[in-house]
Amino acid sequence: MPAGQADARELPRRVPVTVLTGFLGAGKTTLLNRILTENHGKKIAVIENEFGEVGIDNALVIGADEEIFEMNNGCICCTVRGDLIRILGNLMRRRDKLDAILIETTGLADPAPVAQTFFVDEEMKDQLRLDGIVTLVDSKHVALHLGESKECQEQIAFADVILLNKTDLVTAEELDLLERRIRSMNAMARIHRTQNTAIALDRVLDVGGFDLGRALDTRPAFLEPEYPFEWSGIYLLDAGEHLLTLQDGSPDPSMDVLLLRLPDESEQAMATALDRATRLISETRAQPTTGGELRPESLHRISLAPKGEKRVTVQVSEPGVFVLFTQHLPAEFSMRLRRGRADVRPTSTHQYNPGHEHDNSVTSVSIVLEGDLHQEKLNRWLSKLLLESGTDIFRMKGILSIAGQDRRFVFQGVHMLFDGEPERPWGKEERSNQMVFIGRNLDSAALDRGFRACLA
Amino acid sequence: MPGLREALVAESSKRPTRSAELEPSWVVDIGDFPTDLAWSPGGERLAVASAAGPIVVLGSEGDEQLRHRGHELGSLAVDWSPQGERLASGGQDGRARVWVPGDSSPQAELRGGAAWVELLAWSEDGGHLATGSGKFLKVWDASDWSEVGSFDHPNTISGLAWRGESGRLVTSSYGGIQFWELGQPTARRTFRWKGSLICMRVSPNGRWIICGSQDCSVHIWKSASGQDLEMSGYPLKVKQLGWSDDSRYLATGGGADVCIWDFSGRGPAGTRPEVRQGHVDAIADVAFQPGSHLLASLGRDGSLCFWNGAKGKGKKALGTGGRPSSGSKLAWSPDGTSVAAAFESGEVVAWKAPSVS
Repeated sequence: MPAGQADARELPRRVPVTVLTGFLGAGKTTLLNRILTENHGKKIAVIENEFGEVGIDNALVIGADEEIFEMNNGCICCTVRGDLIRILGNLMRRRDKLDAILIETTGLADPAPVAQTFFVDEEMKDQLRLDGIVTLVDSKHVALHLGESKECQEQIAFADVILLNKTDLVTAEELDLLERRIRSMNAMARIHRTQNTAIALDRVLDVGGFDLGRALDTRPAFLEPEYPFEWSGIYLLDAGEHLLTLQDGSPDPSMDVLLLRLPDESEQAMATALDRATRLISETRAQPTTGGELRPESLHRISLAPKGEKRVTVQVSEPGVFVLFTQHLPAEFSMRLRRGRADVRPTSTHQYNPGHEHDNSVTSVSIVLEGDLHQEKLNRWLSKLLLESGTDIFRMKGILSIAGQDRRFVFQGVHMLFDGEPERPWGKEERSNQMVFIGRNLDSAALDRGFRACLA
Repeated sequence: MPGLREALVAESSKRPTRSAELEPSWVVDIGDFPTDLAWSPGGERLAVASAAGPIVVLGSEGDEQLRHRGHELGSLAVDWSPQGERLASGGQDGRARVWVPGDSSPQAELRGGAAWVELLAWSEDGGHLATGSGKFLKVWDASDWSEVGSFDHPNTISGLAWRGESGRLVTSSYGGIQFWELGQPTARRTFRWKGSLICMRVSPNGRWIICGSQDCSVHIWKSASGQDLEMSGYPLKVKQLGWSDDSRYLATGGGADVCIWDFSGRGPAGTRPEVRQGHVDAIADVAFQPGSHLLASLGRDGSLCFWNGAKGKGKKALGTGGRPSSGSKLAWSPDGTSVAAAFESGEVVAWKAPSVS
């Protein structure tokens, strides 16, 4: 190499890229305009879906024509956005260095080719880093698309940040339900509620969604184990007969309820109850009934098939602290607990990460596992998994404890593209493995078994 | 793929020996990222397009003679007419402009059809100018600048060339190669290839059409028969292609090593390329000296290397040079006495060609 020229060249900072997805009408343009006109002091380029190129004050807007380039080898993870490679390549030649780049996709876009562009193309990889995928959701209308639109599901599944927008058009309960549903599809995204896309810029830009060092800077739901119930409430019950009522709600065939007596209201008591409830519900086979009596310590399965109010009696022999676990959210069924005419309300409630969701083919599977993993076994399992179901796995992230290594191994992936490295040492922190998969038709039991089999 | 990976592996154990460091004959800073370079056919002028927009015209000694305003938001391409009296430019304002050096305003302003005009080509007789803008190929009559042909593509055009003097053109895009003829609105012929072709060079004798591909390969067609051949195994996508004037050798980038394919006889099918190693970072451009097999290669590491590109003529660079900035483009002066190289820093630098021993 002549004269050591390369040493003299400064390595430029990689410019963060944010991808903005969302159905038509979700508010992408409003958010873009907000970002373009807000006085944030950043130099931002926006690549829009429309023809043309204009400079606005401190920003630059470039029109793009979505061009999806598939490779001759047929590999879906090599599919990229050809137009972006050209546009971004030219953008990086400008002297006025950019602080951020925002890419708006069309309403029906599959986010994968956009994301893959930043991992597959060396030129893009050198100069740019994909920071995050932000998905805007029209809270009022998204429910219509969630069940049937593949694109809508994928936009949610791929997201690092989800904005539930237009919250003023729905009730608080509807919003809670929507958030639960979206959370079940994507366990690692940060979810924000907005009106008119009003959101602080730092919630959308520079979120580190693909940053290995920040792989677990996400929601607690990501770390929370999965339970066979979605909700619990602690009640102080007096002796006597109580009545639990459910109204018609979501189309589930039945709902499991379980009442446990607690020694007190302490966290310790609750933790023990959680374990007991998980075991009881997983191990008990209950027949659905339309009424009957709910006895403490015994799983009761209420059939939701017949229309109309379902009534279950609860006999309390001695007053005390009880916890009620429900398979679905009580709000879905306007659940009430009454003693005589008076409503009995829980003193505290908790929502859980559901182990599965029945009406969405897109789900998240999070696995937390104690112990060290065998590196070879893990490699073999992951390679096989990605080869067989890489098209169905949209994103995955994990922090792993590999036997014989004193540093945390962090990794993330988009479809079959996989990126991982040893990060900071475990130090005093307890070693464990945390992993989340987001995808379509995921078999959580098989994933759990496969992951478990990688233990050293 | 015929032996590229093997050739690279075989070479990688050998260290290049140090070659003579060549001093530039001149250095000019145009003040912005140079996106394209073009020597006038007589070699009196060197046009430089810049990412900021202006087009700078240098004299043969690097003296700045003119500065045209170029294209708002950035210039992308420059090309001199075959007689050298007019300069065409394309840019990110969706226009192609034709300049007569010395006039402050352009002689013509042409709408390419999409947001950017990226490709320009004068016909051999200078009677027509073709522009490639997004999915639109347009042909303009150079006597009155009327549009005489418009050919729509399903995808963005990545390469554009005239074929002889017959009013025929060839373009590359995602999905294949298309052949066009003035007066015929649809493609005369298409060579389909499911892959993203990102650049195209037709051999000077017209026999071969070569495309670099997004998937780190080079695709080759025999233009007469459409018979094709793929060279895969490059470390990077291949955007750098350079033919020798006699159409015998094709130099390719797509990594830190220059690969030279021999197209004599029945072509490169089943052969191994010769490899020239001297850059530490990816190659930005390659170009053969007009009329010879002397090859210049420019690296993203800022290094410039001269090679004897002919078969079996040694692995050692004939001379090297460099600047402390990433290289972007190379252009030989038409008489082959010197090569101009553009660097991201804004420098345009000329080196005299070393003599081939």
